[in-house]
Amino acid sequence: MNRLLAWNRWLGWGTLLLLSACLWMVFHVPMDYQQGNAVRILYVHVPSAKMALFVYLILTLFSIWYLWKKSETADILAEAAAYVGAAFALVTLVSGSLWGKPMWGTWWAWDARLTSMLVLLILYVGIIALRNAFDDTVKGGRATAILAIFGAVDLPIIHFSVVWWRTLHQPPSFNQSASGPTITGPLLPPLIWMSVAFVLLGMFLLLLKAREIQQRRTLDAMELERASHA
Amino acid sequence: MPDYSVYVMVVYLFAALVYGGLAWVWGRAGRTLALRLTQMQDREGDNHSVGR
Repeated sequence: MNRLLAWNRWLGWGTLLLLSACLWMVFHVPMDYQQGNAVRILYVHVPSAKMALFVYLILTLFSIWYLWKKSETADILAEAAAYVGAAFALVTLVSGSLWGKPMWGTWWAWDARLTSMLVLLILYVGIIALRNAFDDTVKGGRATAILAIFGAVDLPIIHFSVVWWRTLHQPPSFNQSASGPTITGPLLPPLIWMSVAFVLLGMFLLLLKAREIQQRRTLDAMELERASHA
Repeated sequence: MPDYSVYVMVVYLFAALVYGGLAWVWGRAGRTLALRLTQMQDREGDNHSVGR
């Protein structure tokens, strides 16, 4: 993991470069004939939502890996993933709300997609809180791993909520049905590039937080060792 | 059609604040911790050399 962390600075600069190019693209696409300028909100909302789900999936995999192999690297990455995922989920909900007000005429509706996404944010916050409630890293890691694995049931609910129930939220933007994606024409390429940029952003933030956690744990262990020798 | 630029601006500012803010805070925390670790390791190295 140390080699990955050393490369993270370059990943950060690459992400910033790609995000800048994406922003230029986003503000040069034509306005949507129904949504007008508000369509530009979706270039932040959709990639953030995809990343909020993807990061939780990664968090679940790291949790399984930790419980199975007792790997500290998996535990550190799982802890970092909770913070990164919470940020993506928060931006998803806030940007969705700011899109919903002009388009639906309301900031919030207790719709299946919106509610299940809120549950995901609460899960992330719960995982962070549970870990911080333990002084013992091993016990905290085990408890949060179990909670994260059980919480993964929310992922298919979020993904299929717009298919299973009649919701206010529209169907998936990247819907690959016979009719193709629901976003087409010049509006689609910036969304694809923005999604790629958000994957890089997620990786960068994950490694940045993981480095901080790793250093904090090493420092704590050293201080504990010094205190026991004193 | 009404102009929704204010909503767009708020969303982009909020996203920049959250993602940029986290990158800044975590990056700074990482650098501070790295410095403390180096100082601690140096101090331990000095102690060992004195002991010898």
